[in-house]
Amino acid sequence: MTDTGYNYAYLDEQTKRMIRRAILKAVAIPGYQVPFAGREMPLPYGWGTGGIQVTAAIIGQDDTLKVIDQGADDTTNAVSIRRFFARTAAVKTTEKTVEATVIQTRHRIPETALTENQIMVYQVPIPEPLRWMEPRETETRKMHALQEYGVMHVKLYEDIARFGHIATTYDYPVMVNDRYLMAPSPIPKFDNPKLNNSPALQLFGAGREKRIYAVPPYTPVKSLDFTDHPFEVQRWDDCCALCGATDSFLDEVITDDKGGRMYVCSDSDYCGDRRAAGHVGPQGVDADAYQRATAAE
Amino acid sequence: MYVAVKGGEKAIDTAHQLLAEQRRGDAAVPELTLEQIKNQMTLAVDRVMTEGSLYDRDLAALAIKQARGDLMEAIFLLRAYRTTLPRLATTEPLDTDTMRIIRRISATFKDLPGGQVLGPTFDYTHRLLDFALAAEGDTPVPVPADAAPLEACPRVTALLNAEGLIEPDTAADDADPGDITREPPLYPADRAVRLQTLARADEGWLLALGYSTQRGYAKSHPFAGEIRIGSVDVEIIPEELGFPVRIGSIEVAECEMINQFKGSKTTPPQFTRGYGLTFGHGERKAMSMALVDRALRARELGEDITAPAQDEEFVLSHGDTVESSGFTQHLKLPHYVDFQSELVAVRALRAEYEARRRAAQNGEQESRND
Amino acid sequence: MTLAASSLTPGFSDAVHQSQAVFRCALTALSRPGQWATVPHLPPAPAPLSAAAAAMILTLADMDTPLWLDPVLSTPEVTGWVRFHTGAPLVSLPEQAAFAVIADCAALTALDRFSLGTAEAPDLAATLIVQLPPQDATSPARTLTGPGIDGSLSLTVSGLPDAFWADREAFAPLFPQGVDVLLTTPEAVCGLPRTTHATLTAAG
Repeated sequence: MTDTGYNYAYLDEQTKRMIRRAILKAVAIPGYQVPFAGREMPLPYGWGTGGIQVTAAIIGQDDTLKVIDQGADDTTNAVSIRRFFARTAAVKTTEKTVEATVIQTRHRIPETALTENQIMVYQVPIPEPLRWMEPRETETRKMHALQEYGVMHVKLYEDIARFGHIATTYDYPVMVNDRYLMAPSPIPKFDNPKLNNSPALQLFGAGREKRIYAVPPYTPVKSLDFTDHPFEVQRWDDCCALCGATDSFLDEVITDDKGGRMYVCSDSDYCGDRRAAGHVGPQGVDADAYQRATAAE
Repeated sequence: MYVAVKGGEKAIDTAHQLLAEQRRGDAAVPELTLEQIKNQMTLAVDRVMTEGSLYDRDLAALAIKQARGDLMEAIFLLRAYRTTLPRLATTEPLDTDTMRIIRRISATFKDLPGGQVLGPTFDYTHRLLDFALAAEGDTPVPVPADAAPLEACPRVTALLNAEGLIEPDTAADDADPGDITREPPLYPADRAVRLQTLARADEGWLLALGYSTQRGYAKSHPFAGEIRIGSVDVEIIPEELGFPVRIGSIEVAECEMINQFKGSKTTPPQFTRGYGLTFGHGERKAMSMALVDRALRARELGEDITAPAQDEEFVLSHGDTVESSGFTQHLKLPHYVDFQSELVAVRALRAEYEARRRAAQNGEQESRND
Repeated sequence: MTLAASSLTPGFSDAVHQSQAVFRCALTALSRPGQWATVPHLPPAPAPLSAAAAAMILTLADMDTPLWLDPVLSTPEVTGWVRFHTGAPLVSLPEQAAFAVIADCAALTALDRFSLGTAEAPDLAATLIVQLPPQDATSPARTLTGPGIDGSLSLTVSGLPDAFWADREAFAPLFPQGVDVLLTTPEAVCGLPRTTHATLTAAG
């Protein structure tokens, strides 16, 4: 039982059913944006209401929920959403990727490989990949129906003409199952390869725009590119200052006002696991000292 | 040594404590009661109920108190509560012809059946700060109740309609009006859906758009045909009874704009309508809504769509304060990852630019050396 | 004819949590086509409605979803049960249905009787909940491919006419239009979304 006086997972059962039906259709039509009657949530639009509604519609007592924002479990919005579900759905929460059955995320996919037993829930601000080229829903709906995606290729090609390569670095458009153009949400393009053929089910919720879409497990997801300009992900010359990882997405941290900076893993769980396993970066400390330092907080 | 920033939980708890403290302000000053807000901040309550889509003066007052007087935040609180309520019944359409009127004016006829009733309005106040109010002991002299009840107030548009001078009221059919709280927005939207969306839209948004039509961005030559404020009965028809039962009454402000229309090959010249309705005394919003409603009928009336106020998707998808406030403010949330992606890209582009510039310089040098 | 509520078999004993668990089962079925998932909660359904199909109806249908019952299922007991527990409007024409429940599998031909959605709104397509007859191993295996399937897998289902499989394949060029199917045994469900291609496995 929860302590809020609201229904389990906040939403009433009829709303959950409506969202559940939308999710099932989204899964049946990979990459297609299913309109749904999104509800006002007690958290603001733009702060994850779409993801929260999807999570609220799927989550149950047997689940273990992980919430990340920018890859980290301890960013304020991630904390706030995790608390919301701990309170309204009495659900187990975790910061460990491997323990989670449902992972709600804003802007990242965990570095740790996902499994068949997991569902990813992405918070989506603008679900329409064509929105910047065509603001009208009436038009984009037709473009999707006719698979008319030329404008997106033109846009990317203009980048190449101007900059020498594609300048889109996040929310990089993908083609799902060779049919629907899809916005992967503002994850860095570094994460795009993880969308492809994932063993996990991936659900996308846009609350303000009232759209739900999905990528089923083992579904081809291709980042748009050109034969002479193949898709590439970000690379850093540095490694994580704490754990030494060279294969993770790195956040830049400014350490002084004289140009000093360091790079740390954006995925806090991944970084912590590596340090616990004895990996030490150039500015890190060994696992025991780290334990002592964090426990002392 | 560096330890990544932790402590989101603690920061949130502290923020909530600080917020509560700020809301209460100086503890030596008596706390606002909901009764005070409900009775003395009535127009704030009206606006919160209208845009919050929930007619409940007590909850609106609570929301205003909790939101420290930020009406958008209060509207959000009310909406988030409303969305959890079960739907027990659907009311019959309000019959504003039977409104118990406290204010009724028409700008189109000097006098008309029912007369002009000024009612409580800021209209002819001189906007001079009233320092007597600051002295707090202000008790207004009560207005003696009119002995004679108001005579019947037929609508101005009905009077015009009798002559065929105005288009018939098309909304009177029995078509299912849709429900924007239960169905996702799909475009093009029909008028009932548009009106529902406008009714809960931000007053400032509608005011600005309505104003733009007056300044020539989709000019429709509006006249305030009639503005009426008062209480109307709310009725439902219980399935087991089969006849309407009054369940209460609500105060509403209604505006019917009368707009010019040149006529077409198939239609003789006649006036057209724009409609606005709000909870409480939201007269300014009702007028703005009526202007925007009329502008959005451009497609239906075969007018050229040239101005923002006529653009259905643009108007309807940007007017909800809960949506726009949330999305604008979400820019406060961390965007480290996307920004880092841009940093990497801009640095790389600048390095390439620099390399090209150097190469070009060297090339020039070499050709000069040749 | 109406039924007294007292003669109705109950729905879920714990609607909130049981419908959540059954939904996850349906979600798993449609996101991992061709694999049988055990339905975790089986309500006592009035024959000839099967428990698994009944669980799907309780979980997914309500007053917003027109529901079509095939002639075998259109008994006063079943229609009364569906109406009482879901409030779903029962429709007489298959093309009006968001959900269609089929017990007479042999008659499950001409899938274009059901809504395939439109090119712009393919989500308006029907979901078919199909009660399979008792299974035997005599039917030919089919090879399934498509989203949700890691490579390919083999599925053997008996009781569905060849026309059912042929229609599904005939719809493939119409994608995103199509129908989504939940096959049920009395206690399990298997999804066949419109994206799943099923071909007769070559004898080897």
